[in-house]
Amino acid sequence: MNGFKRILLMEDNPKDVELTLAALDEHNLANEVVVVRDGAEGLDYLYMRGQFQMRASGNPAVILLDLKMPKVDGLEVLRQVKSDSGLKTIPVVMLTSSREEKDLVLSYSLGVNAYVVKPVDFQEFLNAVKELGIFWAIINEPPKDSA
Amino acid sequence: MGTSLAVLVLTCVAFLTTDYIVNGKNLSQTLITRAGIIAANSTAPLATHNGEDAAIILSSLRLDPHIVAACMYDSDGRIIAKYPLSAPNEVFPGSPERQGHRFEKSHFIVFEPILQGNRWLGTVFLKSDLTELNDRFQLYSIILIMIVVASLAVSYGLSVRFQKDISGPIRDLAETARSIAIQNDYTLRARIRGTEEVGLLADSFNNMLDQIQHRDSSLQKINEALQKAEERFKSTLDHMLEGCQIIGFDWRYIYINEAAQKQNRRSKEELLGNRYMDMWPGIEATTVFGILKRCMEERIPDHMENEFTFPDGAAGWYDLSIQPVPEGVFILSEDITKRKHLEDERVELQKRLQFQTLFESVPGLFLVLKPDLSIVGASDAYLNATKTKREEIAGRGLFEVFPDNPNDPTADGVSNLRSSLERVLKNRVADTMALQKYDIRRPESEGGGFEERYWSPVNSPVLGAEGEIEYIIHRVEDVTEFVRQKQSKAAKENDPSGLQAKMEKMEAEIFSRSQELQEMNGKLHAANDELVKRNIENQESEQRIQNLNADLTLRASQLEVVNKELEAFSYSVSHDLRAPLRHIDGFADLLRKHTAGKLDEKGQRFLTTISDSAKQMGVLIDELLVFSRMGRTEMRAAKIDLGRLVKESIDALSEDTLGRDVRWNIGALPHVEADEAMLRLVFQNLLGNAVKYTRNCKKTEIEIGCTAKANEHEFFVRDNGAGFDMQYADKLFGVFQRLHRSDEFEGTGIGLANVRRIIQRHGGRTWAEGKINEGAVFYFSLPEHQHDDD
Repeated sequence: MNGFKRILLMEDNPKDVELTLAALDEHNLANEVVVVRDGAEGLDYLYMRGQFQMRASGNPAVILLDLKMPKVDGLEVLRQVKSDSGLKTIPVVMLTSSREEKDLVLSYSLGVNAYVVKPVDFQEFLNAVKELGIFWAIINEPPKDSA
Repeated sequence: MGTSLAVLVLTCVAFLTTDYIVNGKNLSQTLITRAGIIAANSTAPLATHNGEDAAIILSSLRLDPHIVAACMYDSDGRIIAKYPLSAPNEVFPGSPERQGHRFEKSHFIVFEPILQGNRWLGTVFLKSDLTELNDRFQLYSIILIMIVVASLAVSYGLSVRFQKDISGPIRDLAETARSIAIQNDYTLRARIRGTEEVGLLADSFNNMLDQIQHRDSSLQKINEALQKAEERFKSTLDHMLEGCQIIGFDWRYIYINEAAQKQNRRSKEELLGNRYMDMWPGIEATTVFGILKRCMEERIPDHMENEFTFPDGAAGWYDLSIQPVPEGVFILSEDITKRKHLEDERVELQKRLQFQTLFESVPGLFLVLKPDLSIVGASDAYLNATKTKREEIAGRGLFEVFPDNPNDPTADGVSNLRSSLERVLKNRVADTMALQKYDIRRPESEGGGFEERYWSPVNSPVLGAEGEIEYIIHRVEDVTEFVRQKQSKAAKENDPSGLQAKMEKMEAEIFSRSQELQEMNGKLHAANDELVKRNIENQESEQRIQNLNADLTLRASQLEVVNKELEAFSYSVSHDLRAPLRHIDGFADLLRKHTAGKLDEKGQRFLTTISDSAKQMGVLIDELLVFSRMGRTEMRAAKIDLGRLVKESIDALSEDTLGRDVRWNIGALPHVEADEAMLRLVFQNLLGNAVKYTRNCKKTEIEIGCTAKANEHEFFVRDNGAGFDMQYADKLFGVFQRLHRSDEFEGTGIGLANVRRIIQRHGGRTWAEGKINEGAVFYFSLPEHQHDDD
């Protein structure tokens, strides 16, 4: 089950990446996070092509998806993932810039089922994955300050 | 071939020269050596002046056939030995040189000193011919010449062959290519001959030409088709009944067909190439120009009916369709002048018909005659009285329809009536006739023949605009009964004066009646003119309205564009502003965790301030976005139960009122027509403020109520909290305006501005009253009904 604990983070802003990793690192998840910088790289990772041809096999346990990325943006990635039989089972958490942006994303009925407002607060992240029912797939030990 | 020959020759020459020189060198070296040997061996004989020994030594030179002469000189320069012995002294140089060698004309000579230690004893002289050298030179020359010749021959032979097999065909190929280029004739082909490779080249060349020819002919076909299509298109436009014009982006006429030329009453020679506005001075002020400009610049098609006045004053109506086309603007025009006139005529006719019907049903007997005494109208009563039908008499001559009774010899109806009518025509005033017997025809269905009738007629003119007679009204009273009665009465009593008086009285009455009728007629005419004028004004107003509408639509669409841009702008601004904000906040947080314990209190406070400020800015951005959206979002009016809305808002504030003693007094609140989301915001804000500013009260009392006023509802929210200074009341609802410091009560200063905006959009007003530390009341009004004009 080792490969299944991987989190795939698609985020283009390096500062946001750092903040997210810091939040997850506090809770011993940073080792399992794969970071890609745009939707194209993200899809390469998922399909095991390009620079990720030789990666360890297996889908990540969850995809953290930023809405706005260069080349291929978050919604396009979501569309592709949800229409691919091999990938559509991967839970997707959309990263939004604000609570109202959430409304915008909601209006695209592409199977978006969880949101986290940036920066990724760990508690918020926990709530999101709980919503998706993949809590136990991600967390290998209870966080120190869980509610 | 010249090149190779030159090379060969040069090589040979070089070779020969080198060989000659080398040989020459060898020769001289050999001789010098020989001289040296001889000299070395001759020291003894020379020291002893022994000429015989010296000669013997010299004689060894006979082994070299090329040495023609040699001798030895003593230190005084006298010859002491010679070789060959028989040679005369003249063959040798008179005095020897010390040392040296050189080539002379046909010999090589050497002087070599004979030395014993440092003592110079004498000189050896050698002379050799150059035959060896020359022979060899000659031999080589011949050989080389032969080689050259042979090469030439071979070379020539090969070249001939190449010529035939390669360069010939290639040159032909080049020639063919050149011809094709010059003549542009792609049907030429290269001849295939020569070797395989060259043949292949020619073959490929021909293939390529096939392709080119094929392409060329397709191109030509396409061009022809294009030209035909263009001609067809042009021809279609040329022959259309509607006018077609194309105006270019530079506003010059590009194309105009026959029909359009007729409509414009100008020829295409006058118009083509010239600017539209130069051809029609003053056109820039018209609506049609505005539409053309819009189409030209913004590519918006349009359509209008336009009345155009020509320089000579004539006017026509045209139906214009204006379309953007790649060259500029295309105008399709249809001459609808006739149609417009017909429409006008129809309207006119309808009006006439209405009048006619009115006229015909008026009580009273009259006929309307044209000056030529033909009948143009008759009242129903008249038709009844004369037993005629309208369609029988309309348009026919008066006396044709109503002739005298042929059976009555004294009948003078026709002549009297004619005279009266002529008087009217001449004098243009009404003429009253005396009592007149004028029998009418009985219709066949009633037996035919004539019936006795007596009439009292008045004839009056109807004058036209310029005072000429347009119609004559022939008004009659049927006095037949009266006359009969009188006659029968007169038969009983002979009272002519009584009868006379009565008759006169009636005549006067009849006369005055006909006067009245004339007056009425005049009024009707005036009314008609008025109506016509009104109609024209209406048309103009309609046109103006249309123009205004077009303007408004344009403005509205422009506004929409601006709105959309604003929306996009504020969305992206807020989004882009948020990114660095959350970075500041996030990293400040990380820094705090990173330096936990290591940072002193001051440092911690600095960090907290940074985080708080970033969060504050985030809130500001959010609120600003909401505020801007409030001004632009579409309102959706619906009937809302305000009581429910207020309850929900209070519930939403339950967190803030936790642990506090808060009393809510909610009065009766009506249902109103408004946008629910917006009103919710209003109450959230006002109630939230009330809760916030009563934070420091022991007991908080918040009252919400409504007073009905004429055409509107007046709402208020009262609290017993911090209140405010009325001096600054007008700042309350300003954007980012606050009356309290942020350390007293937090806030951004947008909330009330939002409230005002929302209420204003509903057509209401907002205001407030307050006293410091004694609480505040916030009022807003909402009209009873929302108008659908948002």
